[in-house]
Amino acid sequence: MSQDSRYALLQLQQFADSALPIGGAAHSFGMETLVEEGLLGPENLERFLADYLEETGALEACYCAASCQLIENKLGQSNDYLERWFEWNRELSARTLARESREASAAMGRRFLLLAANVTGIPVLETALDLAETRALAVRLAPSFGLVGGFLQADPGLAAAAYLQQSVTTLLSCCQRLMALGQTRAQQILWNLKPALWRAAERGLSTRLAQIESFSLLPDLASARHPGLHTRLFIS
Amino acid sequence: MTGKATLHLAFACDARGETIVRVREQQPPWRAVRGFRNSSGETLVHLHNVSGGVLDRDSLCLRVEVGAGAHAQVTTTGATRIYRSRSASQTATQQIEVHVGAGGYLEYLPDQLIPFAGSRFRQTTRVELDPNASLIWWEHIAPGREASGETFCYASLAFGFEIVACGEPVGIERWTLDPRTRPVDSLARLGPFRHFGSAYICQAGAPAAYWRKFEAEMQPICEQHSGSEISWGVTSLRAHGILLRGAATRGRLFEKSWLEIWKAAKWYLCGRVACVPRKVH
Repeated sequence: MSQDSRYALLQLQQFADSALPIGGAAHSFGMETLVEEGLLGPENLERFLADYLEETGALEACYCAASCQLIENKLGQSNDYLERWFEWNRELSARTLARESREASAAMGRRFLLLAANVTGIPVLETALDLAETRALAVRLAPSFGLVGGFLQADPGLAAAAYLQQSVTTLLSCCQRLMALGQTRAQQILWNLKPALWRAAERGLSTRLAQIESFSLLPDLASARHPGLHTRLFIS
Repeated sequence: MTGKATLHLAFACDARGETIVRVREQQPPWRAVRGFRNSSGETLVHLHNVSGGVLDRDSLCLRVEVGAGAHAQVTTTGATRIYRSRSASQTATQQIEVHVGAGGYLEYLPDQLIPFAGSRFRQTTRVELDPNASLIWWEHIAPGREASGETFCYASLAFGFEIVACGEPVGIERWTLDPRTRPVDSLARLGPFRHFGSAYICQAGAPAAYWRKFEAEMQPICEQHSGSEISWGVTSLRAHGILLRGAATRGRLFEKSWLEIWKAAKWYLCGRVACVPRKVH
């Protein structure tokens, strides 16, 4: 690994931290409904997250990796590539059928981009935010993470894996508030999920956006039912 | 019968403003006999498959055009049966292309799709809506021939679905179910349910606030039809529509609740009473 790659990895680690202040702690992406309806608990959480990574994880990893590659291929040219990136954000929003999950990812994506623009000083990130606001376009977290990863010259596969690591860690943190899940068990699950996480990142990297498939009917349904819960800890 | 076959239906308003249907192209096993005027003002067409089901070498294409201001309802004469595939290289396909013109209305209400044990099937659908065009698009997927003990015994079931309204993507689905390699009963997929279905309710150009209100109106109805064996949810799409999605342990229970939900959704969408498609059997 070159010195530049090691440096990019260090920067990526900061953005992949689940404690990054982008609002992740406020969203369960439908998991609160699954717990409330008695379907999800500590006993089947690891299996659920492994399959979640295989479906939703691979889909998002694909958009993350593609966004990272977009910068890798276009660095130093005009900002035209941003149009394609916005198109991918629109497409991913159309593929995220449940409103609450879509809105959660959009809110986190905007905050992520804003934070990254501020701390890195990369001017294009601010341009992307301005354009998105002017055109009322939602920027999603996965493509935003990939875009920033691209500017940091991170490896696209590694960027996708780091994104998934952040996502799963955030979901596990949410589960610690929803069920009897201790710190050690949560860390064990996160450790055990590494092969599934890596497979999802690899699949995302090696599959074209038009070809990537994902079936997540029950999580989508749970997200759609979330607004109807009597008591809610999470926004989504 | 096997091979590539197209059915092309074109609905249009006649001089009196009533919707007529013309069969532009019709190749076996497709068959559309005629249009019937239903009591809610749509022209109903039944899709027949004279071979009784979809064979593994079938390559079916359905094109539906609904002209400006025309009102159409399309259904099947019974369940769509996907027969066993004889080899891994033989996948039955069905391509559906739909265009609804300005102010047009289409209800697509097929019976359930039943993938037999060992079947391989891929369906690709693209729906385009012009400004003020409306759509109710329903699909119900069964786990197989349950009465014969076939539950999730199919080899693969793949769906590609895309709705574009006023030129922008509204809802996109791309998935493949391969029960042998990816357990369908995972909570990340279907969990304890066996039947599932989706209804896209759209009107191109209607504002986001309208859909949020629509979603709020449908939410208690979905809740009313949910229980330990069935679950319904409603959510606004990114623009121009809502999605009603359900899953159930039993097909009959699912169909029954869908009828009630459809009636409520149709009334809210266009102020017309839902008319259950008359079947020819």
